[in-house]
Amino acid sequence: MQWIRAAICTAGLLGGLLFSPILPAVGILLLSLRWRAFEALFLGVLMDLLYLPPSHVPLFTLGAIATVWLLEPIRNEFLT
Amino acid sequence: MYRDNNRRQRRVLLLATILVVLLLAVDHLSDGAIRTPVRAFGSTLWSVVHNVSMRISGSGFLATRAGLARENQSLKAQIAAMQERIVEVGARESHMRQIEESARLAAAIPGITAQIVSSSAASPYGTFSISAGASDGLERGARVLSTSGFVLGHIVDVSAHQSLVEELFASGKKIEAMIRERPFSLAGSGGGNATGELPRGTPIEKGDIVFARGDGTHAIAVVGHTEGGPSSASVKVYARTPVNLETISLVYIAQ
Repeated sequence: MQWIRAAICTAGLLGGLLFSPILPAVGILLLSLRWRAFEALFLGVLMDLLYLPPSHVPLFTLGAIATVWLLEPIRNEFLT
Repeated sequence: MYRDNNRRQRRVLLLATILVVLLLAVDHLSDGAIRTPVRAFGSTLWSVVHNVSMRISGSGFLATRAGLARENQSLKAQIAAMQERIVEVGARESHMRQIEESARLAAAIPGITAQIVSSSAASPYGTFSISAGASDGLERGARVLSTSGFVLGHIVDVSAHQSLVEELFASGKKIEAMIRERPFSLAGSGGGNATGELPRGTPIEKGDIVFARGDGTHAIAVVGHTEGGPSSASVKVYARTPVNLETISLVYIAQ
């Protein structure tokens, strides 16, 4: 299963660099649904470091943090 | 042991959260110490992949693979080499055309030309990076134009050798514009598109040029579509930049 986790993270990373912000967003969601994935947080902050204009709210980072932590009860209930 | 594993994972996640927040804080306080090398890496990777994909799609390899397989085996290598040469020449011609347009623009407006080094479609904030920075004399707020003279955006962040440009019609941005000497506001919706409203009866047509208020020299968009019948109080205007950021490689920065 770890290879799936690595594949999702890689797809999100490459998607965010080359194609569309939807790919890392979906990657963050999928990673957060199944694992306590710290790499989802790094995907979010990477998108903001790459593209965020100054004085703008870092939406991707905040979204990643919210997604990872809000899905913690679901992970606890159904996956462990 | 099971509970310990859960606790450990949660602790790692909490540490990662704190680290991520610290990264952003340090980057903000140091005015780009972290984002500058990250953007440089991203630009390098994007440039490599972009060049490779342009060559592959231009060669027609995927489209004609079945046709090449049917042809004479001995001519296969020669055809592949010729296609590669044609793509290379075609890419250089396209690049030269942009450089010529840029030279014409430079004759009228002082500034420099720079390459686009990131994907504008991949940015969630309507931004893209260019290969020029403070060492080239660029400053925040500088206007970024296409080589044909359309305003694309403004520089919002500058590092030594790279700059971040925010598109004029980034999602959520409001632009004060003029069309046929009538002022109105355009709301950006990303992807080079924007919408605005004008009073009913305003003579607006598809193809009309839109300028930024206070700058009647450089167009920012063309009218793509209008909506509004005799019963509505206003005419809705759909405007777009005629330049496709995904297909151009050079921009001009007015200094």
